Amino acid sequence: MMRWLEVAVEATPDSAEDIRLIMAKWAGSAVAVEERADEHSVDRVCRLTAYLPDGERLAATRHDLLNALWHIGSLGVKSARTPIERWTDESEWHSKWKAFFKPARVGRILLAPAWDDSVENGDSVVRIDPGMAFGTGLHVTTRQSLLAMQDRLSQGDEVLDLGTGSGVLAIAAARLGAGSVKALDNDLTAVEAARANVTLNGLKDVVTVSRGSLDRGTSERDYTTRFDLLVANIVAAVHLQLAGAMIDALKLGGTLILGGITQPRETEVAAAFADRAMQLVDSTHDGGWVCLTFQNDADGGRRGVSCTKNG
Amino acid sequence: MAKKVLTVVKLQLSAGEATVAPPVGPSLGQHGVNSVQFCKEYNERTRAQQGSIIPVEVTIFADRSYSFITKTPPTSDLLRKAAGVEKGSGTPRNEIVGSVSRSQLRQIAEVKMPDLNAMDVEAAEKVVAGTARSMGLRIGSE
Repeated sequence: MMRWLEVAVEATPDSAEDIRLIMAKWAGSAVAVEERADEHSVDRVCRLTAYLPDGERLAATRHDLLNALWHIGSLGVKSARTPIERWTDESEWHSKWKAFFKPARVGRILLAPAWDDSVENGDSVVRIDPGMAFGTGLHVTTRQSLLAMQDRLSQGDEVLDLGTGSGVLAIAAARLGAGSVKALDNDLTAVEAARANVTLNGLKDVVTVSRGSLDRGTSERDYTTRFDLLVANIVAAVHLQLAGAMIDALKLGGTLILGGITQPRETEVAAAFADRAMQLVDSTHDGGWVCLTFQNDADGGRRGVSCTKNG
Repeated sequence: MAKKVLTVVKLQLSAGEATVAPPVGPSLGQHGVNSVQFCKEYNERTRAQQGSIIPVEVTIFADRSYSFITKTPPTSDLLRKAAGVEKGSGTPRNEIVGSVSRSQLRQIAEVKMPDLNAMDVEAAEKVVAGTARSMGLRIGSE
């Protein structure tokens, strides 16, 4: 596993920028400046950390950086002469936030971390270990998509979760009564995490996870399958890019839930789908994020698609 | 009631291309922030500025929730682009590596205005000119 050497210096906010520039010379963009209130006084203190990757050049880079810091230390920022060094690796920083991931209820669904024993498995429980993939379910965009899905999903629906990440929405769809769920993601890390989570929730018979998207040859998509509900909690750019393919994958009267849209792009996305004869039936706004729900207009929508296919 | 602030982390990241590698992973992860989630948000908000460095200030609250604001690109970054040079001079008194025009200075000053302690664009222009000289860039017909 890749590891990094942390070289940290404490400084006053005045001298922070000088030290940051010195660190950036050797660590590039891998420099963090943290500013917080000093526990013992009214002043603010800065902690500057440079991250140097382990490898052949580490010894030389470290030497040069410490040398430069020593010089700036001599010019007044005394603490720069005695930086604090320690090793860090991926596993450390990925595990730390886990301590703060607590069970949370979103509508009828209870989201729980995979490692939390205090929650008993049940019909409304979605257990998640996001690993390196996106989606604890606690992020605003996931909550919005999850709530929209609870409003629109009917028992036995065939559901497609596009850009599934940790699989949280796909698993929730199954818990909400979907007959079958297909989860797609073009990131292999996400596919692996989602598969593990589906197994963890005992839903292998209902949810299938594959690598792919809607517009690529890598997709395992069977073009005869259309879905009652398609949820895509991704970003506006991808929604716009895949608009045609998403609508094409919907059944007559099907529902499309688009999450992860930032407020400035709401109009653009809404217009792009309205132009394709999709009817906006709901929208939610929270903390700068927008979730749009569309219905495939039974007449216009289908005709639009068949025109594209023939022409 | 305002939430209790735990700390503020400042990073300089490439717009639309942030990953969980340092500095993001360790600097946010140590405070209990999910860095994968942060990267997604940052990249989405800065997608339009891809190719620039967009500094970000992440405020982390005691309950481990966070919010962030993005800043204008560093002056030196804008100057390097305007002058078409890879990097500034190490010895700006002796070695001039390129030049920027007055109108380029004005443009950069306008971009940087929100983040500078300057009353008007003229004052901001002087701040930018100072940075340019310290990087070994000649200004206009100087």
